[in-house]
Amino acid sequence: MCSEFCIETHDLVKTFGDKTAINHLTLAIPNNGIHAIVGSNGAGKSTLFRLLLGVDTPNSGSIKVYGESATNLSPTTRAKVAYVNEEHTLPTWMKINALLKMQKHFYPKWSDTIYNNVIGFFDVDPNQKIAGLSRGERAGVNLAMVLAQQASTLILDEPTLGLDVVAKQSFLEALLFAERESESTIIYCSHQMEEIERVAENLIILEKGQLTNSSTPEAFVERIKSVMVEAEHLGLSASSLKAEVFEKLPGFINTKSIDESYQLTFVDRTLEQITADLNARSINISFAQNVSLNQAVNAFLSKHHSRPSQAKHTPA
Amino acid sequence: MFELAKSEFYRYQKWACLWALVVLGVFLFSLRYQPFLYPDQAKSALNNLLMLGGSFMFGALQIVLHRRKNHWTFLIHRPLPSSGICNAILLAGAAVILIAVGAPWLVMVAGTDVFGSSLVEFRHYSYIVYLCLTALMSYQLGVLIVLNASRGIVLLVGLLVLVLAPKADSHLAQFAPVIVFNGMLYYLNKLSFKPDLSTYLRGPIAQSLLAVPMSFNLVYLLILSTVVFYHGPKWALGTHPDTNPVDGSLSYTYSLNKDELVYYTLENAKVFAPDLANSIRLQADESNYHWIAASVRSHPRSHQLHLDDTSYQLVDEKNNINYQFSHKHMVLLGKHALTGEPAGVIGQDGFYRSLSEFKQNKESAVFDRVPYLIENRYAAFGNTLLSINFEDQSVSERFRLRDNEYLQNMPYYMREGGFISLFTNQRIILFDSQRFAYEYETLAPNFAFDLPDTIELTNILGFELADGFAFIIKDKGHYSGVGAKTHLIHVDYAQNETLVASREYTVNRHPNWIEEIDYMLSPLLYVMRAEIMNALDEALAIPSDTSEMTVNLQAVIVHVISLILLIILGRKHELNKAQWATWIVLVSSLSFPALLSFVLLHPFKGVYFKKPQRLLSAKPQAV
Repeated sequence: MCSEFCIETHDLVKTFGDKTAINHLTLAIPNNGIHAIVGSNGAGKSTLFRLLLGVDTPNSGSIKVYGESATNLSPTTRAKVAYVNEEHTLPTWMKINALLKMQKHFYPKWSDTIYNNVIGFFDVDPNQKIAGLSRGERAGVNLAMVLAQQASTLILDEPTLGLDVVAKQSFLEALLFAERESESTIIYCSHQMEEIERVAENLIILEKGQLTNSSTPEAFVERIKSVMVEAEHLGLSASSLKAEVFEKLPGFINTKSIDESYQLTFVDRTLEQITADLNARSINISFAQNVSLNQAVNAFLSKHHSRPSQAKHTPA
Repeated sequence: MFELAKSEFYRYQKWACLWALVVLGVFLFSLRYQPFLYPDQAKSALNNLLMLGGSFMFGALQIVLHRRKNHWTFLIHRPLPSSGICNAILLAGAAVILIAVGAPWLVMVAGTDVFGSSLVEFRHYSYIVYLCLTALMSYQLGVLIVLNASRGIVLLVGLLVLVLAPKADSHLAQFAPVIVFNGMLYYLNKLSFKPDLSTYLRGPIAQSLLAVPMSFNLVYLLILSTVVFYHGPKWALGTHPDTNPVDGSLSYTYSLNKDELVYYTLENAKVFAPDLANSIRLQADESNYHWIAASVRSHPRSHQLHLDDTSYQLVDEKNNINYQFSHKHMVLLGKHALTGEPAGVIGQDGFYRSLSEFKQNKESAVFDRVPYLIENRYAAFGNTLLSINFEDQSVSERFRLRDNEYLQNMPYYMREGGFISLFTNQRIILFDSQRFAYEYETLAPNFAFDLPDTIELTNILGFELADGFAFIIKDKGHYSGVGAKTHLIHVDYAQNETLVASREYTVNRHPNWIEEIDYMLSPLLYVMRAEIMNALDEALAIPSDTSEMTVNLQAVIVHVISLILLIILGRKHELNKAQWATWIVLVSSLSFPALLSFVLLHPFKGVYFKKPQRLLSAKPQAV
């Protein structure tokens, strides 16, 4: 059964003891394109991937990959989905060429051309053991093998974690090269906004196991507004201002004190609405700021991010 | 699949070869002390510990390494069915086991066959097959214990006892259990090998295959638990029957001296020969006492595994010839100790210069059964005791038992009294050891008496009297002591046997529910265990009779409570009809141990004791 979505979840829930990792998640990722999944630590990204690959079972709800339940994926469907994790797990006791020979056996669509093109971005000796590769080289081999499988969907879970600048650059170039050559769907999970900005066509944000955004990066940035205000005249301290004034504003996310001014960030509010809300509290906007994707995501995620309490951290 | 198996094998290939070389080195070193095929129990135990323990650890380690974060995903997420991946892993593991366990043994046995002077036959090679099968079983146990979500699976290690403990009395009994268990473990491993390892097996067949052996072993754990709530506190308080023997119980007799035992046996006894009883009382203090071993041992079996042999060879020291029993020809084959050249044959009717000469007289020469070889000069088998004289190169019949009578153990040398005792299925026979050794005289027993129709024997106490010999036999009755007796038997020099007195013991040192806790917990398991073990090794003779009314009633109560608890606990797990039927049958038949198996084979966390759920935040709007 052909579905227009490679991945679909419906009211998905996964708990680990008292902790809810995935919280009634309903998500549909369409075929093709590069979809970035972003979220703070513990948002449920890795859990979602584990559920997708069937190595974990949801408590309730459903999750499907190409129309098949993820808890019972057939070999044919598994061949359609390639997965790269942050550790670039490979059999360390094997040599690269032996590993290639084994992998070719499993994937009938294997393309030596794609493998050779991608591995060309990295400088590896095919007779070398996997255990002897650096992290960047291992990432390159892993990516080349995964792309050579010509899977319909490629899931990358923080693939550039721990890579140096050069290796990271090579990895992203190889990924974009492969994406141009094929019509596969790429699901890219990363904390690196510059990577997301560079590659993603769709931005999915997970917070505490819930879906809080699924749109293009540009559309998401549009949701976030940042303004500079001065509030000295109110005669309140910064903490009082935040607690008694700013946090009561609709759509308020966070504030940053810069000299005697405050940078306020809002979500899902127009500039006019923000101006009106501030004016009502006798606060004028000095100017509105452009927001980068990095700033927008950071501000968005910081809203529910845990912070240490004052009492715990009072110096002795 | 084979590519994956090859990759997995290469991972451990070097370690397997290294292990095999180290083991081979140890084997070669051991040649300094004894021939490699010498049936040494300590060596056998160490071999089992290393090979089987090592195989178990390897299986567990193999899966532990695959279960690491991301490694399991890498293994599972490929276009192969889970069963194919499982087969690849197990195939590789089996190959590693064959190298590590089988190869050193094969090298040593083949090397001994070709270059050594020891007799090597098919049974020596078949031991290698048996060892490899047992090692594979251990390996699969290690795999299953790590693979399966239930940690209670570790109880399945007890299956090894069923394989190793009995001295099998047939080839079927030797090989069938280990083959069947390998098949069963393979099936369970295939079922357990799924993408999500945190899910429990729910199928009725799988749960039954797990629950039954787990229940067997849980019985032993439950018996051990009596240390916590019964034996331990009693010891601590100083009231334990072991240190405070209960007068009137059979166990009280264990605390008595030998002469005190005589008086105790006669106290409150049914006396059938009062004069003899008085005579024995008078002589008891001055008598010499001797313990006579009365444990049943399986007779050596034709083509048995060589490590089950009780003896290795007879040695003609003058001519430097070693005679080992050939299970193929059923005679003793001689080989020169230094050259290994054939050097004659000993049949049950005499010495032969060569195998061809023996074959001309084969019918009379072959031994009816595999004999015990004793003291380098005797061969005992069935109802015959032969004396072998290397000086005269002759074989003579030293003693023959009655028809339908056979030895139940090797002849036993009682050093204290200078007697040799024979324990048969019908009698205890004592021979003077000096007369026994003087083979030019017909051997007649000094004393012999027919054994009473007993359920279970323990050591027999014999003591010399002026007019003969007396024996005290302890009959444990039912295994817990119900119906226990002691019998005092007198045999005079004319071999007249008299049952002097019998005392019955009606008091137990422990309450019934402790003495018979294994029966109470599950009568069916109790009977099954006995029947299975006895079927594998009839010498074990584990009693399998049912108990008395009180204990049976207790068992019924335990059954009912177990069923009620099953219904309460089962409802928490939302079982389907097939699962309900399976567990009702299991708990109805196997009782409390099966209920514990149920708990172990189902998730525990968050099922029986649910914490109030924190309110989840409202669902977000669709974006």
